Order: sequence, then C-alpha cells, then structure tokens
Amino acid sequence: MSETNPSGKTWHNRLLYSSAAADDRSRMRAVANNLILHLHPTKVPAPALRWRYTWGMGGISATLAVVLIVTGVLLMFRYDASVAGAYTSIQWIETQVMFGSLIRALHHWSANLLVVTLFLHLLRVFYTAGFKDGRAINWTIGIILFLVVLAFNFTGYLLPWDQRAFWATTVGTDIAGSLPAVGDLALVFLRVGWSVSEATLGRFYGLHVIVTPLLTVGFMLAHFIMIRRVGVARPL
Amino acid sequence: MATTHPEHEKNGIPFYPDHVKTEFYVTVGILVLAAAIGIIGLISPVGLQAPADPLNTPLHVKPEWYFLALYQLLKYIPPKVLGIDGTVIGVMAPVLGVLLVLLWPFFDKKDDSKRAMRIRAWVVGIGVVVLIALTLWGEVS
Repeated sequence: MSETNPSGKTWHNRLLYSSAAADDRSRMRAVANNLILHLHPTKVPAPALRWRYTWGMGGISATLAVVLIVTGVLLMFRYDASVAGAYTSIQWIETQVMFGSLIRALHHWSANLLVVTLFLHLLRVFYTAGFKDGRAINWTIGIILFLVVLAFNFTGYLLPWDQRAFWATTVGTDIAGSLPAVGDLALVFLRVGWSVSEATLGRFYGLHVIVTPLLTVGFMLAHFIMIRRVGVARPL
Repeated sequence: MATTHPEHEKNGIPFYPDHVKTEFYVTVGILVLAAAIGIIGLISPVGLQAPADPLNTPLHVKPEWYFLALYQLLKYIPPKVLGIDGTVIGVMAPVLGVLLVLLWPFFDKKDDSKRAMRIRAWVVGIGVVVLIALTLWGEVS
C-alpha cells in the first residue's frame, strides 16, 4: 500500500529508521511500511495481482536474473577469457564438466528468455499505464534495466569465441560504429582498437561479469524499492 | 490466486498467505521450465560453431536475434533519405525510439482513460508488428 511514513522526512530516514512517531498506531505503520524492518508489503491490492493483468512477467524476469547469476558464476569457474583458451574452455564445459552442458543451456536460454519477458513486461506496463501516478522514475529505471540486459546479452554472446560469436560481434559493433559523431569512439571503446581481437574479448568479459551485473543488481534493487515505496499499480 | 472477497477488492489481500501462495506456484512453474530447458540442453546442447577466424568471413553474417530488426533496418534503408545519410537515420531512429519510451511518462501525465488506453494499444500493436516483421525478415534473408 502506498501510505507514506508519517515520521522521518528524508529518504534514508524512511528507509532505515522508523524514528519518533506520535502514537502506537503510527509507530506500527512506520515499521510495516519500512523496507528493512518489514521486507514485504503488508497488503497488496487484489485486482493488481491477476494473471490476465500482470502476465507475471516482472517476477519471471527477476527469477531469470537469479538463475543467470547462479549459472553465470558456475560458468566463470571454468571459463578462460583468452583467444587461446575461450573456445576450448567452452568445449571443456560442454563435454567434461559435470552438468556443464546443462548449466550452459540454462544460462543461454534464460538470457534469451529474459529479453522476451522484459519486453512483454514493458509492453504490459505501458498498456495498463503502470507508469503513471508517481511511477515515472521507476519506468525509467525499468527501461535502463532493459538496456543493461541487452548490453549483458551482447557482451555475453562473444565469449564462446566461435565463428557465430565473432561475426555477430563484428556486425554488432559496426552498428555502434555508425552512430553519428560518437560512432568511432563507441567502436574503439567496444573493440579496444579497430578490429575484434583478444582485447575485445577481455573488454566484453569485464563488462559481462562485473559492470553489467553490478548495474543490473543496483537498478533491480532500485526498481523493487520504488515498487515498495509507491505501491503496486491498480488496473483502471 | 487473489480472492474475490469484496473487502479484499477494496483494501488489498494479505501478502501472507494469499500472495505468497501465488508466488509459490510461480516458483514451481519456473522450476519446471528450468528443468525443461535443462532436458532440452542435454538432448541438444547449445553447442559451438567452428573457432573464430578473423580471416574467414561466413556467408551470412548476422547479429543476435534481438538486434536483427535494427540490423535489417540498417541494411535496407536507402543511402539518402530527405538529404540525410540513411545510416544516420537507421541508427538514430532506434535511439530516438528508446528516448521516447524512456521519457514517455514525463509527458503523458493525465489521468488514464479508455481512449488513452486505446491509443497505447495501437502504439504497442504497431511497434510490435514492425519489430517482429523486421526480425523475421532478418532471420530468413
């Protein structure tokens, strides 16, 4: 529910403390509305939870993100981000590591599915005007999350270092390179030079396992905190 | 799933146990899906193509499927549109599209209505059809 905390004025007061409240009732509400002290909302509006309204896409996306983090860490244990080792390390994962093929399949398909579920989530929220009534910032955070996930998939695609990966990255970075004014800059930033090389692999690996995950987790937290603070949108 | 009790319609259902129950079903569903993916992965692995070879360009070079629409747009846009370089339009159109989507709520602040909903339905419909058409075109070409 979207009752505001009657006490504390600043956001960190609201987030961390339930500071001095006038009476028992407002103290209780302060605790129930506090993200840290009371992780889940006490109540959620029933019409906002129907399947035909939500499609469940936000929750499915969040779950896929968790699957991706877990399988991604497992893959990192065996992956070697070098031209000499990348391809053979994937072969090793596929054929020698116990459940390696399963873990890679989960990672691969979850990543592809995540693009679909996020897109459907976006469409649903757009159609049902979930971005109104103080949710504009959260909509923006959501779009940023979608872009970060695309960057995630784009950088992850190169890592197996096979023909498909190499040439998809070549044309993909070419698209970035045709941006007006900043094209060359973007191209050199992505490729670390003018062609796709071992340096590109290192850059994409770094972006894939550190930069994009931190951004994703950070924006996901912000996304969820905003839902908790503003409340779940009700259908028209 | 959500109860239809009139009190709940108005004030919301309790998060626990009602909503948690829904979440539980969702979790089970996702685990089933994960298991299905796992089984598919075991039967037909994601696989690898030949190792990357910068000197050997394959016949059909394509980006990942979610960039195919963008790639197709770039490939078939005329070299000059209204005196502007076609590539610039092809690249800037999606950038401006994303900016529009990003900033939409800051311009569309009126209370929602059935009419606004219809307009959004059309925006969604046309956008999705164009996107899917471009992607399919990219896939078969």
